[in-house]
Amino acid sequence: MNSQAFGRILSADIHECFAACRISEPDLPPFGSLVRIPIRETPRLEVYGLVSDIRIEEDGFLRQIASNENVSEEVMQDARVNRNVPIVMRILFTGSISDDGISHMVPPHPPLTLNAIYRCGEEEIATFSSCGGYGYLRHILDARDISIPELLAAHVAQALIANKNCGNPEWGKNLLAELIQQKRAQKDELLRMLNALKSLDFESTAEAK
Amino acid sequence: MPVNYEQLTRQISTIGASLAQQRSRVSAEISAYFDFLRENDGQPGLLQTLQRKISQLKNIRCALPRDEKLLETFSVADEPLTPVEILAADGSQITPNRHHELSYGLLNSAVFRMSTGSGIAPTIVTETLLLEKVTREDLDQSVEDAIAMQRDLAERTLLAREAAALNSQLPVIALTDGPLEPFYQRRNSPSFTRQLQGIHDHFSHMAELGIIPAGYIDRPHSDLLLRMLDILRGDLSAESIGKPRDLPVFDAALFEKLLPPDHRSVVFRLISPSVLDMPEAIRLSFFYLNVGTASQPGIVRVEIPEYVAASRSSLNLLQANLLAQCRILPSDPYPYALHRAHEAAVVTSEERDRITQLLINDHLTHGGSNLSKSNKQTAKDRANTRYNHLNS
Repeated sequence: MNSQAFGRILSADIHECFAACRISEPDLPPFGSLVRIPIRETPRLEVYGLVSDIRIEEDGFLRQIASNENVSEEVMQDARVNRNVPIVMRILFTGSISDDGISHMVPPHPPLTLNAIYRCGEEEIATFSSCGGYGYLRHILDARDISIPELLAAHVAQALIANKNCGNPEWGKNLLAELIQQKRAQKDELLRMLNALKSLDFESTAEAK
Repeated sequence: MPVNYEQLTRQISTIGASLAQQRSRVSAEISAYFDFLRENDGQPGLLQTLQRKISQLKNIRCALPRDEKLLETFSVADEPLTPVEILAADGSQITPNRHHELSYGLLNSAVFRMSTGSGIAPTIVTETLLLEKVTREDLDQSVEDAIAMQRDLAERTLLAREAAALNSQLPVIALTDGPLEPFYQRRNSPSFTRQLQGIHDHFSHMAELGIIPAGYIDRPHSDLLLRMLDILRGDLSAESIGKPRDLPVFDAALFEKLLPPDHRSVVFRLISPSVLDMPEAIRLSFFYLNVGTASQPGIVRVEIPEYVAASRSSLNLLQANLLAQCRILPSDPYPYALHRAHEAAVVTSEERDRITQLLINDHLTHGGSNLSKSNKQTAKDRANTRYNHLNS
């Protein structure tokens, strides 16, 4: 179930964490991906979260190179493969899994520094997003300093495909209904979210692998 | 107590006035050297005169031209930049400190390898050696000097080994930061001779393989050419050899006037007691190179062994690649490969703390008693003052 870890925790609180990964990592999860952070095996506790921001850090040295008109491929490869300039990801916690099953509450405690992070597969995304009546949506909708419509759209785009491929074609329509229900009092916010979601295909039930 | 700014302000003002005066004297002196250089450029018998005068001076360090031409400059603008293997080495060290929990030394050497034009990510090799204690040649030798020599040897051993292991069809350039000339107080001990011999052997091995080693000296403060001119005009007495000048005049100021951007000087032989110890094929020469621009010259000195100095194609290849390396960092021209070797070799204070902690853990695992820093160090750390950076 655990594929290769793509990064490690730098800092965390009860709502979110920051993680670093190498620029050369081939399997970097895109914005909005569901990721899992194992905290302990017995009793089981793993935290789920969404990649809510991706920053590529820089230093003065890279700035000098970037100001050069012609940067050779060797220098670019050196910066990406050898230099310890990480990608920093912000991960918004959306729930956890324990021996009792999936919970959409914030984790009982945050993961520790240098805990490894794994990207979730389709089946895991479908399982997490389809249980608990979309309870995890509130973490996205209440997030601060994040473009909520964009994060929502990025997550829904991936979860739609995962749910369709895992035999849950109604997931998207039910999500829209839940979203409208939750945000009916904040029409402007709701319109911005629906606008961000409008390019997604909520109708098709075909496999979209 | 902070610095006494009242006293400092007065001193800064005094020093400022003195430096302004000094600048005009330096400028006049450099102009006089430049005129003298021009008068003597291409003079028949110049080389023989210099050789005769230098042979009469003991322990002299100066330049000796390879022929009578002194002012010629060389550009490689018309030469195509062909692929080469560039290796750059650097090293750093932890010097034992009796005020820390454990007193240990550490050498860290790194070689950065770049195949130009390949599109392939460069590779880095590092080697770390923990020293339980630093062996000194005698009581006069400082621990810092002893560990610096060991670091240089480790760095050059790694560079020579990696260069020899390349087995490449491409030309290989092996760069070090600083002079190739081993700069140590000469000692008459078997161990010192052995270490020096080790450095010579590495150069000889690279010579056999046709590798082009070069020592890159940024912002050089050498006055080798000026000393040569002093000798020529009879201004250097035996008593003044090895003594510092009254004014801070350096060769670089002369070459700022002489070298257009991207041009190098003629190649000079390096006359020095330590170079005379070297086998003839690897005795050192050097040239100056302007890696800067017309408005902001950047004069560097490049040391090379004799077999490179004697080959025009090797010189051109080296010059073209040093310039190409410097252009990667255009705002502060310095060879990219050397900078990366430094990044790989440097032991940061955080790393030093981690290594110390690992050693302490191991010490305790083996039944050792608790270790602590000296009272002096503890007091400094608690005060969290600038002393931490200065003396730790």
